Amino acid sequence: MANPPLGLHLRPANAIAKLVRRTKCVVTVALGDKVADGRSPSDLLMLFAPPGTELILEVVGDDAAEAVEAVIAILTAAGEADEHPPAS
Amino acid sequence: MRMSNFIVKDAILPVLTATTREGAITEMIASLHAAGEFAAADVPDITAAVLRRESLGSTGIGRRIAIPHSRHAAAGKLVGTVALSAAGIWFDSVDEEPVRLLALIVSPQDQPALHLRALEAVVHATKDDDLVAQLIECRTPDDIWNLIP
Repeated sequence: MANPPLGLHLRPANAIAKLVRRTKCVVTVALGDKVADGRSPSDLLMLFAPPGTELILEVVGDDAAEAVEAVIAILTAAGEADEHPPAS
Repeated sequence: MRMSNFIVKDAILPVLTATTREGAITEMIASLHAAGEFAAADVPDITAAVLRRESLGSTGIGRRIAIPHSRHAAAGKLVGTVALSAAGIWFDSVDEEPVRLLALIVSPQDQPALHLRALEAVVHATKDDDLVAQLIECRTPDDIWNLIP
C-alpha cells in the first residue's frame, strides 16, 4: 500500500513505468475498483489519484521485493508535483 | 472537462516542422501566440517554463503521445494546442517510441486543480487507441478539431 503525498501525476507515472519495464515483475496499481498496469503511464494516469490517495500495489516476480520498494520510493518521494515546475 | 474546452483551434499544427522536443514545444507555443494567446514578451518565458518542466522528466507517456505542459503567471486562462509530427520526435518516452501526437497545455499559475483537470482530459481522450490512430492521420486543423473530444 502507498499513499503518494502529491498524487499519481505524470512524472511518477512515467518513472514507475520505466522502472517496471526494467524488472522481471508484473506490477499492478489499484485505486478502488480501477487497476492499472505498472508498465503503462497512460494506465497509471487513468487512475486519476489525487494527493493522499491510498493505492494498492501488487507485485509478482523474481525481484518483487526490490520492485515494491522502488515503486513506493517513487510514489512517496518528496518534491514538487508535476504541475508545479520549480521557478528558475 | 473536454479537450475542446481549452484547445485553441487556430493554434492546431497538423504538420510540425520541428524535429526535436525543444523545437516542437517552441513551435507550439509560437502557434498559440500567433492565434492570439500570450503577449509576445511572455512567449520566451512560457517556453522556458514548459522546457523546464520537461527537464524534470519526459511528458512522453508512450504510444507516440506527449503532453508538454506548465502553469505560468502570464497565462490568463487555460489554453492548449495539438500538433502532429510525421517523422516522430524523440521524447525519451517510456516505450522509447518517437512521438507523433503532442498536446501542449499552459494554465494560470494559481489554478493547479484546473491544470490537472486539463491533463486528465488529454489522458482520458488519448487512452482511445483508435482516436489516437485517427488523429495521427489528420492532415488539416479542421480534421483534428473535428476529432478532439
